[in-house]
Amino acid sequence: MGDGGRGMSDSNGASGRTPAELATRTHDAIERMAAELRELIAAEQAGRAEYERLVEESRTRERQLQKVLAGLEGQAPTKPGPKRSTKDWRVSDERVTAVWEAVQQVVAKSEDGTFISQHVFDVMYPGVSRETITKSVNVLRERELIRRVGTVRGGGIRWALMPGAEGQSVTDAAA
Amino acid sequence: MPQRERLTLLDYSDREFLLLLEDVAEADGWADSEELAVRLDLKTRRSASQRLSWLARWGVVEKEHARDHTGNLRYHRDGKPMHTQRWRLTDAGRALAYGEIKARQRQALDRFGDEQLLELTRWLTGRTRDGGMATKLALREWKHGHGIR
Repeated sequence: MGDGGRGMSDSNGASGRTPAELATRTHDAIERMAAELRELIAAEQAGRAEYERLVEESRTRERQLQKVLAGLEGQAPTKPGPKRSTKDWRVSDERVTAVWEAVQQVVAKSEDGTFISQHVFDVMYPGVSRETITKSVNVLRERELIRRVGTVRGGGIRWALMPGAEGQSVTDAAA
Repeated sequence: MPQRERLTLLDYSDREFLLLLEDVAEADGWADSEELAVRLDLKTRRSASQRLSWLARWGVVEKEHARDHTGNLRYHRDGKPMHTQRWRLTDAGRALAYGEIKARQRQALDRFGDEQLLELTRWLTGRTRDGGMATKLALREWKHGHGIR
């Protein structure tokens, strides 16, 4: 019974290593493999960064070559144009027609046959902006359906119908 | 709004101006330039009279002759007739203010396409090259319509 406890020693029978030593060796092996993988990843990242730098350089060269080509072909270099103003829009004929109908209503009720754009806005509100009214009134003037007859206190313009304009359509006047 | 010193073609087209003259005319058809200046919110009648004088050169308005109590024309010492400050439209001016081209003529014009517009403009240029009343007024109408000063 004296050595009955020997079989329970920490040594591995085959390699003669203790479990603790084996665990340490396994851990070290994993660490080495992980380190190798990290190096490979770093190498891939470095390689990709180099490719990206080369692509960017290639794009820059392409832009420079395009400029030279445009110069040779006599084309003006492309510059960003002026920002399109929101005031550049044109009012549609449908809108102008609606305003024209409102203008005729206002004039029919007016004592002196004149109107200002505020009166038209009041008739059409809501659903129309002041800018639409202003632009439409200018179109009506261009098409000689209305005429300027004076100014009002505060800076507005007073308008009247052109002779013979009543009942005319906006599109006929445009012709 | 402060009163204006002067009047430009862009403020009022010739047609608008002539119709305003009719608006302020008295029962006998003559309109005082002072009345017109007030309607146009001008400081003095001078700007209104200046434009009326130009329009008179082109034959679309005329200035009233001054008469004595017996109805005879009055003259300056140099023999030139005296005028009042009243103006009225001539027949040509009335045609400009109220004239409308006939429906058939308008239809004919409507048939012109964009590509024929240049030819039409060339024809119009030739037609108005004589420097007469129609030329001046056509050019002014063009300037007013395109906002050219």
